[in-house]
Amino acid sequence: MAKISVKYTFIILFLILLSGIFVIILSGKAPKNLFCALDIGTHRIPLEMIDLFGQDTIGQTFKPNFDNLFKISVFISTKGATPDARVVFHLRRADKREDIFRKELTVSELRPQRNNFYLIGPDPVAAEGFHYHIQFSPVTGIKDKKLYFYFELLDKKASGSVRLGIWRSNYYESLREGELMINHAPQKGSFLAFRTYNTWNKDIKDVIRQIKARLLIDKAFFVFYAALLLLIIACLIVNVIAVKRLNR
Amino acid sequence: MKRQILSWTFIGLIIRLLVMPFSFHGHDIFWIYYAPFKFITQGAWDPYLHLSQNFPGLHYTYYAPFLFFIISLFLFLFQPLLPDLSRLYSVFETWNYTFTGNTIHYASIFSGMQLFRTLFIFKLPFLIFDFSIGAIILSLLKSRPKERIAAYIIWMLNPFILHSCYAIGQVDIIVTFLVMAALYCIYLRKKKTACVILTLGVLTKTMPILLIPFAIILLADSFREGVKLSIFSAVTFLTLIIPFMISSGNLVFNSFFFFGTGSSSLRQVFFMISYALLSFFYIFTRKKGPADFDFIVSAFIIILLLFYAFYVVTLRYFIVITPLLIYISMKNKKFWWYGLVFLIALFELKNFDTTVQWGLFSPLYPEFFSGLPIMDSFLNLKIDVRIIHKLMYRVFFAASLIMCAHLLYYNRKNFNFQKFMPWQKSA
Repeated sequence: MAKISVKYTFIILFLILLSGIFVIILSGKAPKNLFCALDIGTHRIPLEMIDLFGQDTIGQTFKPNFDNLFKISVFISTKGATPDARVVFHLRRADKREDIFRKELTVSELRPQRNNFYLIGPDPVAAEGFHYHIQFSPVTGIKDKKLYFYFELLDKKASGSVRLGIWRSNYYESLREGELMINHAPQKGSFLAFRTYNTWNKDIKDVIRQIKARLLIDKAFFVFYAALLLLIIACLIVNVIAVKRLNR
Repeated sequence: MKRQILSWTFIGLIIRLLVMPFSFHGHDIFWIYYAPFKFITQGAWDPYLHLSQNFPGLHYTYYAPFLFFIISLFLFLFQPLLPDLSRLYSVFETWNYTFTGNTIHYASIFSGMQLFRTLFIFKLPFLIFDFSIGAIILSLLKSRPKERIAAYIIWMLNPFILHSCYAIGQVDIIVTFLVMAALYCIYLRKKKTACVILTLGVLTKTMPILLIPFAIILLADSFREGVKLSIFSAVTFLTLIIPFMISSGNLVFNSFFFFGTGSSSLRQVFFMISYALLSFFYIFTRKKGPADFDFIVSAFIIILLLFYAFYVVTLRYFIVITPLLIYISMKNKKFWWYGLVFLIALFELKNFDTTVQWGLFSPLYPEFFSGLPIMDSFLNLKIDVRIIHKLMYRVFFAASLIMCAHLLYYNRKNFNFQKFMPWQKSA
């Protein structure tokens, strides 16, 4: 018995030590906001690409299913493009002209991002290209509102190509409304290969409030469920006591 | 001992009940009940015809016929306890066939439709199959009281079952039950019943089709008996398939071709070659006379491991092998280590995404649970997690092949190599 205790104590201490080392190594590297959920989009590799260098703008309209949009990724390929050619990313409401977010990028910056806290999951760098992620401060009050993002080429004389993945289909994953936009004109039945990500930045009280509200939607079930659990726990306690008595 | 078993039954039940109403993954559990719902409410008894007529662009179909009947029966029985499903399935149809939503979306749009109750009742049938497997494990280890309790405890705490069956809401527990029921029949020397039950397993989810030829090879004492057992299997299969074939032609066969996704054709070829070689090995080297029960269990484990290693492995497919691993580990403690390696490797390899971890609990609060980080998020800050996943797959692959070899060695007394070594005879 004593041997077993020593063995398990060692294992537990080792695990605590390991967790400590892990926390120290990663301290300061994890972002302040840990939350990231995929809303619209797919991990599949698009079959078709469209060249931004042949157009003025290429973009996509979409309706977020949740609030707090903070990241958009687009399937992109920059093979052979002039490295210092400039591209601008715009995000705005579909019905407005001013940008919610604007970012200027050079082609050399458009490369696969590694060691990113949010970039877990099947996000491959394929021969056709990769998903480039653009992060910004969470945008609130946009649930069910139509948004529009697009890429604009600044240097018209740049050579090579910056190509964006597109899907031609009658649907796009979790996208209720929106389509591919070329030079601000909608292209029916086509979608940019993109993904949108939402974050969560409320307090723990909100979690409790939300869970409580959801549990109380179906009060009859909640009462039945709680009673069933309590009954089984009571049976377990009675049984454990009986086992102890028998052992004595 | 009975009291101890009862205590662990309660503990197992509490853990399962805690997960059941609050978790699901993607469209899985709603899809499982979709065709039975159409059957009960609209009389669409042929789901393959119904889907092909109403959703011709759909690139997948409903599960195999026996599962359709089992779930329809449960839905019929539990329907009075369920909320109005027509509203839920009307929204489901919109999302499933047009937007293909994920857990976060379904959890959000179904939250006002008594979702917890629906999930709880949808998962109730799993408890029956789950605890029946527990009972079979207890029966198989009757003569070993200590191991019997240990095996039952492990079954009650089986993380594969808790994750894939109760958290995700997949039905592989039914296939697992049918495989275990077939093995129990083999244990009782009821060969024909075993073959019939295994075939019902194929008609639930295709995987047991790999086990049937081996069951026949190992159970038949003569070629004639082998043919008889094959006929029993074929008749069972055809009895359930023919009505659907008459109704909708070959559409029903699409329900058997769903698990090949993700594996390269080279790996598939490797699996087929190893499967064929193993069949010949068993046919030509097994000793005559009734096969030892542990020998049959080991053969089933070997086939399933080869399938997982070469063809495709997911946590839910792996459920099928878990009771067999528990059983064989009770017979030889060395096999425990493989189980432990499989557990670590597969949970790291296959839980690569928030949606299969915290995201499963989205019904409680979609935006919060779907966004929570996982261990891989932190690991990814230091190392590309895909490297870890590749490593884990290799660990799993190596452990599977070593265990196959170990099992063949463990059962060496059941093989007769002498007919291939005439010099030993003369010696």
